[in-house]
Amino acid sequence: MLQQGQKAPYVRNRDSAFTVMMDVVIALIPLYFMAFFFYGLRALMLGLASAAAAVVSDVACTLLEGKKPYPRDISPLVTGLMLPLMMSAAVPYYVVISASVFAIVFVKHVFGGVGQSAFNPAAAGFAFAVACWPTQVFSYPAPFSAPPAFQAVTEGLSSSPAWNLFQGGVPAEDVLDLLLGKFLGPMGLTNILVLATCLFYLLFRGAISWQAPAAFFGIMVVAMLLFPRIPDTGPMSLVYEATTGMWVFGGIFMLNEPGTLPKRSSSRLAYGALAAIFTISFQRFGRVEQTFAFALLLTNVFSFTLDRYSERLLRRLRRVYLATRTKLSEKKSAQRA
Amino acid sequence: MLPEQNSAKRNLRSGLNLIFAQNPVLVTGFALAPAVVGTFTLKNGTGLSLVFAMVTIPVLFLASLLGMLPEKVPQFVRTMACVGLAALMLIPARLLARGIAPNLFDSLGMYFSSMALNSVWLLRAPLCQEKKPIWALWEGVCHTIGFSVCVLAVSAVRELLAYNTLWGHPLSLPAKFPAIAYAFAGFIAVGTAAAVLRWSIDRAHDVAGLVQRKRKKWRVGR
Amino acid sequence: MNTLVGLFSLLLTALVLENAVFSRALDLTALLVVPFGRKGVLLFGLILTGVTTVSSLAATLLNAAIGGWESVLYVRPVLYILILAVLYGLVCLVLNWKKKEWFSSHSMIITIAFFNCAAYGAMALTVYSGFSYLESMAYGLGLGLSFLLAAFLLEQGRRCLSICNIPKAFRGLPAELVYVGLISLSLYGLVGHQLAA
Repeated sequence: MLQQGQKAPYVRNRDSAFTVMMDVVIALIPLYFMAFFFYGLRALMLGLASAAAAVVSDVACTLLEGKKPYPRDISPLVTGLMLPLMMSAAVPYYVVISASVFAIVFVKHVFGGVGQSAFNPAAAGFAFAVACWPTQVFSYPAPFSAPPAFQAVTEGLSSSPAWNLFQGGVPAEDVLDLLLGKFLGPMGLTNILVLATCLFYLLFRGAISWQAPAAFFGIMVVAMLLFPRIPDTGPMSLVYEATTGMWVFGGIFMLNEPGTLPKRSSSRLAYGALAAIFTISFQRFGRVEQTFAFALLLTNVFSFTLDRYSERLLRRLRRVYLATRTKLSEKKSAQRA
Repeated sequence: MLPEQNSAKRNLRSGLNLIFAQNPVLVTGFALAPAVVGTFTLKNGTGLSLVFAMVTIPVLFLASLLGMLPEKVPQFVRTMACVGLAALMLIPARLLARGIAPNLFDSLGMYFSSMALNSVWLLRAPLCQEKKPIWALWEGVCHTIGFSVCVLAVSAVRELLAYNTLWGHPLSLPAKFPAIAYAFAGFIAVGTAAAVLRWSIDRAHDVAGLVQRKRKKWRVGR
Repeated sequence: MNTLVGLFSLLLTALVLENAVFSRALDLTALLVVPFGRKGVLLFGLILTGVTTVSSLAATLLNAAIGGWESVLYVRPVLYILILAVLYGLVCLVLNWKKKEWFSSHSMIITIAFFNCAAYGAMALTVYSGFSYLESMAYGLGLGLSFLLAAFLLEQGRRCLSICNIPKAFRGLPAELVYVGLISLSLYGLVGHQLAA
């Protein structure tokens, strides 16, 4: 947020904004491959339309602000590519296009462009799409049903297992299907194994830090195991929630967006924990079936505060530590004497 | 009474200033609540402008009359008198609003009546006590014009995008954004309108400055 | 016990789901524009909480008294506002008598805390929802506290915005409005589809 220019938020070794963002794009490619595998050409075309809309609106906003477009900034591409993955494969083109234009114009550029956004653009774009067209976003075609690439899809759509969970029922799908991602759901997020691979790739490449996802996934997993939404399902509850919910994808890709993530590692832990708490409470009390994006928007409000308070807290702890250490050493020297 | 508060030229100019450079919604930010939530159709926008006019103009006039009372009367008593008049003005406003659309009062809900307590007159009334009644009236009119311009523009755009209609008449547009009628879009719409207004005022200043500089140059050249 | 749980859930509803600022934009002017400073906003919020609590109770009482009238339709909002004016007059009289200096330096805050959309909204909404006396007080309390919650969230936002490189046209009020709008969008996940009444 503080940093001017392009490189600052991600300064570490030789990494630049470009390499970090490129890693995220590379991590998104397998998700698009899965989407292509399940839904054919339409998935790729949706991604292309959304990415193009994001890039065009980003360039337009940059020109409108009187700055020069910077071609090595590919963060609008990342936002544009993430958005359709969270939606149904049958979603009309205008939904993804307007979601990515909203994300870029009203969330990213209003607050000053790359690295300075107060809210996560992708989460806000998705939230906007849900607010406008909940039926289109949440009615899914069956996998391998090959929806037509360009025409509107109106037939053969139904709700996902996430809706069952939301209504208090147990999903009827086979566990193996759930783990492999062969069920009605958002076009890119159903296969949890691919998502886990992406997480390890990003962690290994150093594109994301471990603190926020560790706290987030830790609390989510414990909460799902101890307090399942559907009683008497035990550990199966975790399988249902993790495979059908958007939070796994969100915790990997959206939570770690460098512009909104706190800068200190201790506050990143708190940030992840806060995101998990909001996600769970939105899930229990909310009225939308996929709540992660909304919870993340609320978490973003506290990102800056967490940095401030963690700094204060650590400073105080350090003082206490130093004071006790000097006292102890004085005692020791007194005993020796 | 201060003499400079009542010179005609100054008041005329400051009145015009109130419409754009100190727009009561977009720049100074008074009367934000109804402008954010109530403006999802053009009819609502018209209704809000109507109540605003019916409340603000007479109350500022009354405030200026109250300024003639002896100084012993405390400020809060004057404010109470103004509030009483604002509340009473709601009745004729509601009767007139029925003429615009029969269900206008219901669709605006509590925002219709809460317009009686808008911060525009609440914050301007103490200043109007120093003014002559005629200039207080003029200020009320200018506030009303500024408020109406903003509210009508925002509500027309929101109705077009949210319902693809204008004053209830259907128009064909490529896409419908139902969420634009919700409160969150109201915040974003008013914020964007404020930014657009500020941008255009800046451009107008630039142009004015350019013209002035050219004129100077021309004079020097001759 | 049940009543207590009911009252508490009503308070939470008013605090989060029907937040005065984020879902109804009620006292936005006091939040964004009027330069109270941080202490002033806290004081304003506390006074506002008192006003909404008392006025929503008063509105419920009034409604029980005038419910039978025939031509009550047009008069009701007027009476609500007059109640506010009477309450304001009483408070000002007492303060003017007991604590004159404090009153003269804080009279603006008190005036705005009494006469704003939130104070009116608390009365209109409690009567509209048909609450009992205790419920209406809980709702008014929640509505007042929800202003403080919003002020707290916006304070965090202001710190963040102050170091963002915001485009010139959006600096200040417009960016803050968009910020509040996006918080409101995030609460949409809790509230679901509804138009504010």
